Amino acid sequence: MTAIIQVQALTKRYSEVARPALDGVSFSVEAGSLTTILGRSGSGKTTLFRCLNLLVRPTSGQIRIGDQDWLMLDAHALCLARRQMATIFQQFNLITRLTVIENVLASQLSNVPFWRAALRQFPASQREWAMYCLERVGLSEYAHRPAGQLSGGQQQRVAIARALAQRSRIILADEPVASLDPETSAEILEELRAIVRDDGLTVLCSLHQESLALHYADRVIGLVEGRLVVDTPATTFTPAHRATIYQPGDTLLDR
Amino acid sequence: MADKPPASSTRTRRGAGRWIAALLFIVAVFGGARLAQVDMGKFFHNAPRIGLWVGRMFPPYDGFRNPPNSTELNTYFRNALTTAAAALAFIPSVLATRTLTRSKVLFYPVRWFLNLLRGIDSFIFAIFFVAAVGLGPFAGVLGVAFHTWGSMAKLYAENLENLDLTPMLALEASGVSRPRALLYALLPDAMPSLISTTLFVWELNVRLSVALGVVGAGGIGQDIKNAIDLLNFPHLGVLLLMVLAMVTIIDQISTRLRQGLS
Repeated sequence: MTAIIQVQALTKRYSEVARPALDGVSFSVEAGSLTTILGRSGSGKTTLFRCLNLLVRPTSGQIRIGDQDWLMLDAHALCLARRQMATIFQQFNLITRLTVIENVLASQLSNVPFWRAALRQFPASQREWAMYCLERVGLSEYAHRPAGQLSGGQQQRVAIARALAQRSRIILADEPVASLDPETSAEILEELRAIVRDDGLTVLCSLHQESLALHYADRVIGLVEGRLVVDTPATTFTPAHRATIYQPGDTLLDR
Repeated sequence: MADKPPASSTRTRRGAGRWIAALLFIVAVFGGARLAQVDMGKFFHNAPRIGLWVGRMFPPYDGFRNPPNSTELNTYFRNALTTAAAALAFIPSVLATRTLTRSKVLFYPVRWFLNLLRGIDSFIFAIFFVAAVGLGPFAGVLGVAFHTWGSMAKLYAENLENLDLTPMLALEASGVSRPRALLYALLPDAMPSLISTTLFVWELNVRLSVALGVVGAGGIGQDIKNAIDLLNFPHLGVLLLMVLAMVTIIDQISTRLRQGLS
């Protein structure tokens, strides 16, 4: 197995005075695995994701994706490089006024001439591919419905289909189930697990629920106040790890 | 909230503020009336004469000795065209949207330029263009177009600023270029309010260009001024009825269209 994501001493400071949002985080992710990041709100999970697809610039540290030094890319190279990476968000971030299939086809925007992008006219081969990806998540009969009319779980499945259609190597999922009910959450993780198993993609996914992480993930990474405190295979995750990440005693639930 | 001041002092302060605002308002009304030489006595003294003029417009029929020509219809088509052309203001409006244009070098000059266009009224532009390209509708078109560009870009930019950008940013995060992401993810969301704004400005422009005829920009405004100058009141009545009819029709069309959008 080879490491597809390598993060070295990654630090992000939003201001000089506050503690850094990320503080010297180092880890690597193997290709074709599902890794989850656990941590409380404000522990730096979202900042880590935003650094990985360079929506924010890290203050210091190194990121290697495949064989590319991520922080040395110029704007154009970055645009190309980002296509290897699909992102799934807590709030789905679909284009609610467009149909489901048009949302999946958004993954093809970089592969078509400008006029096709502007007029939303995609060649048949791409429409078929998008349809196939929708079938994979079991939503092909909703293809021509406006995305905004679907339930939360269905919208997140559309987002997964879009990520799949992008033919990227990596999927970053930033709390993909945080606004969904427990059953739907499990279905979504099932879907991500299937993509890792059947398509060999690499998924990095942040979660709140430890139980979901242990059930679906290969590896578990834990963040506390921007520092990496746990990095272990899911099979060897212990209550001690849990205690480190969630620091019992200072919430109502733990008393 | 702990840091809120005690209720009594807030109330006193708010009360004082209201009195000052009321005082300023009264000063503004009376001061303005004085500056504008408002003389209600003169108005009431001459009111019968105004009534007489209105009376002489009836019946609004002058035997078609001055048949209404195509200038009337012209006014509306011209305005539709001008407004459509001004809809290109969408392009600079993107640059003048704070949330979309982070480059200050681009944002401020574009915004200033649009403010300049918006700050100068169509009338001033029209007079200027009458001097430049001569009397006639073309000067009016240019006048309306220049001013409309500024105000439409401003209205568009405000619409765009209120939109949820996350779907667009989501596409950019996966390597889609900004122009494509904007057209694909933001435009569908923006479309209803952009169209509604455009229709609204069209209505305004139609009423405006009637008045523009008076400064020599052609169209029905010119005919109205001629009718008043010649004291041809029945003809004036015909013209005013035509304006009323057309404005009503356009209002109806654009209301229907806007209802259909929402």
